[in-house]
Amino acid sequence: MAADFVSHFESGKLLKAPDCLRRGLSVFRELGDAVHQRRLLPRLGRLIAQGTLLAEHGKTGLTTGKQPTHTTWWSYKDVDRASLFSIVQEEG
Amino acid sequence: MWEIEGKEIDSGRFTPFEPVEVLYEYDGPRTFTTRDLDGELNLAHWSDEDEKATRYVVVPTSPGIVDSLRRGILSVHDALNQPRCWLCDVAHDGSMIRCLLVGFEAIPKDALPSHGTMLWPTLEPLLTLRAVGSEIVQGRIPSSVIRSCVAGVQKSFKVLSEYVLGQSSQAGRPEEFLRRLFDLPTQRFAYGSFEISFRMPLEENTLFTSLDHKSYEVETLEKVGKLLSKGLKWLSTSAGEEGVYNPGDPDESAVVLRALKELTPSSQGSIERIELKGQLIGARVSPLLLERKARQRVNAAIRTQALEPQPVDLEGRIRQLDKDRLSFELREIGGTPGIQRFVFDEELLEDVFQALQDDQRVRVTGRTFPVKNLAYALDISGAKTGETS
Repeated sequence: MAADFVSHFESGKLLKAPDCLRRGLSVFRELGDAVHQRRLLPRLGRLIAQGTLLAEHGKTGLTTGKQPTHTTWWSYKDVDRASLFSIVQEEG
Repeated sequence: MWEIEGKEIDSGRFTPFEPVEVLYEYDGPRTFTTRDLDGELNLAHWSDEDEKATRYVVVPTSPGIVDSLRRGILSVHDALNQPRCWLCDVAHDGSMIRCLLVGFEAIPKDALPSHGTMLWPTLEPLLTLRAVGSEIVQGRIPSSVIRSCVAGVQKSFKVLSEYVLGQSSQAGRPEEFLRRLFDLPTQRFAYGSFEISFRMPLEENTLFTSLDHKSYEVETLEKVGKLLSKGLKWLSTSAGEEGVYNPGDPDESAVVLRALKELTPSSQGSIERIELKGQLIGARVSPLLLERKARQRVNAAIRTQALEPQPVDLEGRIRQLDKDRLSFELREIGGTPGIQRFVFDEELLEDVFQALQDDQRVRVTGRTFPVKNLAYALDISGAKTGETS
């Protein structure tokens, strides 16, 4: 699951995207938004994981876009990102 | 990345692959319009990606289709299902690698949006029912299936809404909201099996979210959803299997069980299974399945708690007709000042309206309704007794 918690900057994708956003991870604040996206973009990922981010895990900010709860999470360097989340929904 | 057969075309047709309008954005544009070499409008949707490229499904579109997407009239899958369809592979530096003319039906199912998924989460239907059964096939769907799906949701919603509305003050309720609440707008039909989606009775982005400052209408809908979800959850528990429903509140038990009875497939008839999804019952990747045994469990719980409807037969004068909620008050019952409020179905509206206008005493027959102080009117006829005012 750790491979799912890399930014586009770290994976070398979306080279034309704004640099600041490329260095963050995209998350949703509402499970419903994640479920909708799972249905809209099935190949983006089969699993939905849920976790609680605290101040010690980095900075977050709502991200301009069409989804009201789309949030960018800029993780601090030594945070074990995957360990903060557990899988809550999986489509078989 | 997956491969399908197709005819390679000049990738210059879609170069530069720049969005005209971004419709869905998540780490960059995922669904957007773009113009081709001829200046024609196309709809592009992210399908897949690997370390080399991102693949988009691109189809011709129109301002009307885009508007339908924005308003939740058309699902993204249906907007992409066009006679001409291309796959465009774009490198991560934005350069076009290749474009392939393909058949839409050849694209892997999981490389496209799921059927019925709307552009934004706020456009997702309130509730979607899909009826499944061996007799439910495209082009030959029994009308009883359609009637059962529509009436089931309407009746279930009526019971739950009356219960929720009865718990708070009657004053200041927006009429338009009440009208839609008791006659839910449809959002979408699909006939592969039979699927019907009901639209939100209001446009409200904070619905079913954890955000604060909710309006009266939002709170009402969310309470209805919580009651229904509670009942649906019970069906999958061991208590549900045994037909024992006892959340501690007998009034609530009565409405939840009646609502579940209206939604679950009958042990007879063409519907073998109902698949439920939608914002009302919470975020789910897969639909919730209701099989015939669910109805048996509900019936068992209703019997156990002696909640079977009882006949009602009263004579009086009809007053206070509420056309939005389909309800009226029967007064001067048997010459007493007693009042009984009735709810009824649309087909009885004409008779109720006539009786109200005529101001004659009428006989109302029906049965008990699971909401306190309410009865369910089934028929109206002339009063047998000759009492006059």
